Amino acid sequence: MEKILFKYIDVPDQYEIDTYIKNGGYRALPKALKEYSPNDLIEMVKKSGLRGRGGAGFPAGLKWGFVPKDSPNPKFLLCNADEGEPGTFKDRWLIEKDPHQLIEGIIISSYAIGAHRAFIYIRGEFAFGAERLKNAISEAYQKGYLGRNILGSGFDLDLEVYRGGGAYICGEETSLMESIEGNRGNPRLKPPFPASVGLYKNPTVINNVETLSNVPHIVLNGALWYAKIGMPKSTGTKIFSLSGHVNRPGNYELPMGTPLRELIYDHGGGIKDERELKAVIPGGVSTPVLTSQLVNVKMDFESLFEAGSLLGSGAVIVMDETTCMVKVAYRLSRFYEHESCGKCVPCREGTRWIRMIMARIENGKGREEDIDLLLDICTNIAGKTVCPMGDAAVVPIMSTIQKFREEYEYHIKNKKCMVDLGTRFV
Amino acid sequence: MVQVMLSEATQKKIAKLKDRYPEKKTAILPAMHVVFKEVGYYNQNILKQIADLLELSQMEVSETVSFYTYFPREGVGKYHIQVCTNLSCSLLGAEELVKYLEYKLKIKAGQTTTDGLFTISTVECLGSCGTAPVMQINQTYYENLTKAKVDQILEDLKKGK
Amino acid sequence: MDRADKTDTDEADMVNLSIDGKEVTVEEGTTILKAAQKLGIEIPTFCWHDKLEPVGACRMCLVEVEKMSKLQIACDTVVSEGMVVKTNTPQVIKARKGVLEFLLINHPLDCPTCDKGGECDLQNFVFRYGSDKSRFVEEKRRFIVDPKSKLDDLSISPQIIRNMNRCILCRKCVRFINQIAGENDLGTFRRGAKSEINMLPDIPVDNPYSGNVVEICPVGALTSQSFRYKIRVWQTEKVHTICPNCGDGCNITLWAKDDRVYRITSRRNDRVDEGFLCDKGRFGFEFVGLGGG
Repeated sequence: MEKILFKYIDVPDQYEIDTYIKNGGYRALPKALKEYSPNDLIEMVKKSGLRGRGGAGFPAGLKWGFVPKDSPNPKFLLCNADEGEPGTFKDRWLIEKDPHQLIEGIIISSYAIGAHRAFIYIRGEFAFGAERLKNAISEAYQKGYLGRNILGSGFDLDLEVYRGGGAYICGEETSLMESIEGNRGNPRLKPPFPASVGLYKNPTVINNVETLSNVPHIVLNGALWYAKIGMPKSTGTKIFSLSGHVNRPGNYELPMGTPLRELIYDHGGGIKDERELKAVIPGGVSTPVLTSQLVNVKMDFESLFEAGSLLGSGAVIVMDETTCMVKVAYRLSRFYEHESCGKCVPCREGTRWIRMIMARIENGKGREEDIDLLLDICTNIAGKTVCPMGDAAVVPIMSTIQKFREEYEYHIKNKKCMVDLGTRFV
Repeated sequence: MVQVMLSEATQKKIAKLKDRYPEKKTAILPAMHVVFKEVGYYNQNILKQIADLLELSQMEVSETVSFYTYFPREGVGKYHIQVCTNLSCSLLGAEELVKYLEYKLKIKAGQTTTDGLFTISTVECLGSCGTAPVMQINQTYYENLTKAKVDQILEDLKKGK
Repeated sequence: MDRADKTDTDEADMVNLSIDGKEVTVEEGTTILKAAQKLGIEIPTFCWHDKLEPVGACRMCLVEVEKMSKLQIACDTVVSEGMVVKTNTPQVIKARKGVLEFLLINHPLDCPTCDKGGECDLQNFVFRYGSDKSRFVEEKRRFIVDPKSKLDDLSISPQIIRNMNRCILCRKCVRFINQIAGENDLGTFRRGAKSEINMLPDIPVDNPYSGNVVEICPVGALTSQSFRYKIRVWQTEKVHTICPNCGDGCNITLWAKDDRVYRITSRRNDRVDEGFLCDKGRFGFEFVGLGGG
């Protein structure tokens, strides 16, 4: 299948505006501005079936449509480039290797929702990516793709990069807005939703890097072309970030619905060191772990949901037979404790408690009753927090207990891992 | 606490941020990135100066900055080695990488060498899972690490390369 | 529309709902919590305060709302026509127990020497809704003020002592200082389980309304220098009076025993004082000799 987003990913200077234009870039923008009204574009994206690529999979066109058209307030478009979900590194590639594709998507999307100011909120650690974007943005200004009266259309847009400060929670859209407003990254209560009361209390749309990068292609090739790719309800391609125990880790752009087996074995070159596959986290660490029996599952929103997991950000973490699932869960419990913002009680206190119990089990001091205690703490967090992070934090614990309970029991009884990872750093 | 006076050039850059955004507080994180790049760390004394330049209160700046973990605090070494120990990196030996760094630099994670050159920290996912194990030194990523690569990187840094 | 233009029979602006099987009619825009209060149904809260913007942080007020899959916070969920709310289902009771357990696991449980004892929301809610067993076997989190002293107490102003180990991070103190007093000499620092309420290093809380944070604190995290360790609150007698310090005439309560005043708190009268006192009124009794020896 022909790649859409990664078509020119291996062209060394694709990040430069001239190369991007040479390869067909900035052709969707004049088309969008001249041939379509903002409403046409919203309808087009709705028809394309494009869903958010940040994790939740919310239909992008629908989100755009929520922006009140009669609001006298300025509107904002925010590109979520916080890419913090462990296992995910696709947006980093899109930003570093093909920044103009994203910028073109942002300009068209801003026009569609009537925003004249847009920010790319990029995680602080991506210093190189931020630099790339800044340079690309100034190139775009020079060519008249940004600024006043873009391509003579009368549409104005200012775009700039805003760097985060190291906080996973700022990938959550209301925390992201708090962060840009200069506050601590605590999530807001919803309602009101960002489409009506967002950044500086103005109507705001927040879209992921990959989502926005798709927009120019939809405008150029049409909604129906896009909708035919992938699956009926999960259209288009998806970039899968493949990592862990595979021979060829990396980002792979494949149609939605590609079987997991094909991704791991055909594209990823199979399991490292000829070991057996044990488990896969299919969509970033906040999605439930799958056992190797489910390796034929199709990688799209519906299929993974039916399989008891989620597509999430498309970050596929592969674990071989030497992986201790208790250790995996312990490792991730530390992550969620570190990233809890502290605003609401169940997440703040619960993630810390879970980490302490996991540490005890991992260090050979587990008690039989700890497994049920962990599960009960998880139910006291899930669905009871301000933002989805509480639900995410319990996923690694609940899903590893559900699928690998015997490893917990072994750990508690024998005070050590059931399997041994061995040395991997040489 | 060292009484660092921000240089005139740095002060100018921060002052320019004040009116750039719809609200002054938005300039706090951009100001911190300027300080990170030009001073390398922060303390309360620096936060006070940022507050004055942005016409915000020291409390507003301090509350916000204390939430974020990316900006190094005073006492960090010249080279801040941040090793990703999240899942994908751990699966490929991040814990052993930390131990190797501790052995090479004769300090524990969280500590700074007595010459003030290196600090080792363990951090959460750096978004480079396909090239694990990974570490970030100041603002630069080092990927697909092996012992030999680590040796070379440390040698180069010691020589000031 | 002005309130004066409305009539009680203006149906369009009224909403009917039921809470625990009891019907109630309230104005559009009312929260579940307020509607429940109208019916005399108690929904416990820690972070809610009717003079402050709701934050929905403590999750103590979670209730069941028919047709909604998740429990909803009563403090910030607005009622709608025909809404059916339940505040005492097994699911709600479990959620409350869960929140209280989370708040207690790191709490020092030093109630015998805590000034808030007897009027502490945490103590009272645990008594009413909590569990009698602890499942926490780990070491409790401790905020040490000074590594040398191992003390929990930090003086954040000449009048106020902070004990972070008792704090439940409802942030009512900081929100009061920001939203009502219009100051910002008290703040929230760091994040997650390490979050803490504090002054800036060496810059004590210093505003004319600071004492309200002691009264507003639902636990013993903020106590007043003048009252602490002097007497148990239930041993005092309450005398209702008016603050004599200025012409405002704030309504106050004197807490006294044997002709000695131990403390002064607000006796809320929204037409006069909104339930808050200035420090002169709250702590002034010591200076005029009422405090005695």
